[in-house]
Amino acid sequence: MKDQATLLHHMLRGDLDADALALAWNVPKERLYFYIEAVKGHIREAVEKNYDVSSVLFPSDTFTSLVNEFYRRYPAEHYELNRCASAYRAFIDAMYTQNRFGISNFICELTQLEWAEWEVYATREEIRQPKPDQGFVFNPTLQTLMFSYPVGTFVRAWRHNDGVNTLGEPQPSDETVFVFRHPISLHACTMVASPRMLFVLKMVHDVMTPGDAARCANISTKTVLDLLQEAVDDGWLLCSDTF
Amino acid sequence: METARYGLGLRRPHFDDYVPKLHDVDFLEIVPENFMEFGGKALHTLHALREYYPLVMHGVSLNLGGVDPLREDYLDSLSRLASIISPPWFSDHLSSSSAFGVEYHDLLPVPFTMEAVHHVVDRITYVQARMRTPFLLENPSYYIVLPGAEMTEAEFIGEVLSRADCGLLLDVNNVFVNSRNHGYAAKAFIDALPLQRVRQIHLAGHDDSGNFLIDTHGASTPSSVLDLYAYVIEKVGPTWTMIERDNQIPPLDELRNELHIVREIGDASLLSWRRAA
Repeated sequence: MKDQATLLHHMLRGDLDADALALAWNVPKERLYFYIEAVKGHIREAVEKNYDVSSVLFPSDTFTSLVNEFYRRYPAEHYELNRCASAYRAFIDAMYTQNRFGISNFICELTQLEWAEWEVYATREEIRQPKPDQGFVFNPTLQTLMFSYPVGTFVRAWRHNDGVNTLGEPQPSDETVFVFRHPISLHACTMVASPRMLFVLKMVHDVMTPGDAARCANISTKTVLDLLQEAVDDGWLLCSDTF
Repeated sequence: METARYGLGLRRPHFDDYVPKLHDVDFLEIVPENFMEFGGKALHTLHALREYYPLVMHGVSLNLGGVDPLREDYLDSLSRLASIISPPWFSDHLSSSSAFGVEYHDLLPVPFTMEAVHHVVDRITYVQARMRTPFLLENPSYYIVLPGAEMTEAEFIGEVLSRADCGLLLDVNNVFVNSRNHGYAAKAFIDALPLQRVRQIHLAGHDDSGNFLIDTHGASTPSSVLDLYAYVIEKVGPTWTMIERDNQIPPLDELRNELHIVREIGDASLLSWRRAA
């Protein structure tokens, strides 16, 4: 039993010729090829699904080679298929370092955002209603990502355009992106952080009162309260009235 | 006497579609791997639906036929999920799904040998005791017969079920696909199974690759499989039947229409079963 499992395993990993095994076992070789393609295909599908933007930026042949290389280098270790795609980010970084497959720094940052979206979608972190005396607190699923390319803007445009890539690879430009699970709809949300959002982020992080923040920024307290409410409505900031 | 129930597989596109309770869906089956490691929408959906439907778990990664030790982290997670939904049973396949630390996310065949019988029985016995929940074993689809077979597929399944003392989740589509791919009579195969152990039935569609049939769960249940289902119900009597659809998932109404047809066939076949009984 173990010998057969070993041979099947080597065949699936690409270390054993399926034709030779078909001959030895007297089984139709196309059925062995079916298993090989099915197992490899699951990994490809997981990558395409979880890196839905970056995967289509490669020419089809290049992407096939890329995924085959990923399959070879990173055997799937987790029983949950999507989690096997987590290593793809590190793989892309490694391929960038080795100057292979034409991968740019932008693609590396893009895959970072894509995986962050999946992590937020899947996280078991619970979003609890803050107590009234807690004031404003960050949504515990919030990930604040800083990029040297406008990755969030690119992804938003790509998705607004139904997945048709009309944009070239963008020029470097610093951008901060918030990824979080909305406390009501439970959907994963991706937002490019505006200066207003970054102001609220710093204010809550530094535990400033609206009055202090208003004085520091030389704006009215009402404006600060409006900004806080905006963040609560977006879902990345919570208060006792959120739920 | 057991009541016939007809259900569907809970899939992500339909998370929001089952509340309020649908009168024509008696139970839901979940693939635990799609929920075990997830919070958010998936977990929220389970908590909501357990109030309305009996939920059963049908896993794909237990790896009963695999040579690696059973994964305790997987069983821990499966137990946590079971504590949430309190399923009347859980099920997985008579297959291997990983080896040497690598997950295949697919179901590979096991040899029809006594060595494999003992191996699988030991693992089922352990899992069933650890989970404290009845276990059903599904007859899988397979595309090659590993060399060295010492018995037929039906004998192999029968030996495992008897020695492990567990139930059978009879996948009628798998029987049809296997019978075509390996050249045996589907009804004779069913007759050779210990049908008194059937607790649940799977129905699904398949694709024709040209050389052989592939169990894709990507199409509605064809009449050939429904005919075989009627034959099974006439022999088995009332049981739980569900439609598996994992690819090309249609709108829920389409699946409900298909389930309505299944219910009509199942209920009509039950009349024959009652007459015979």
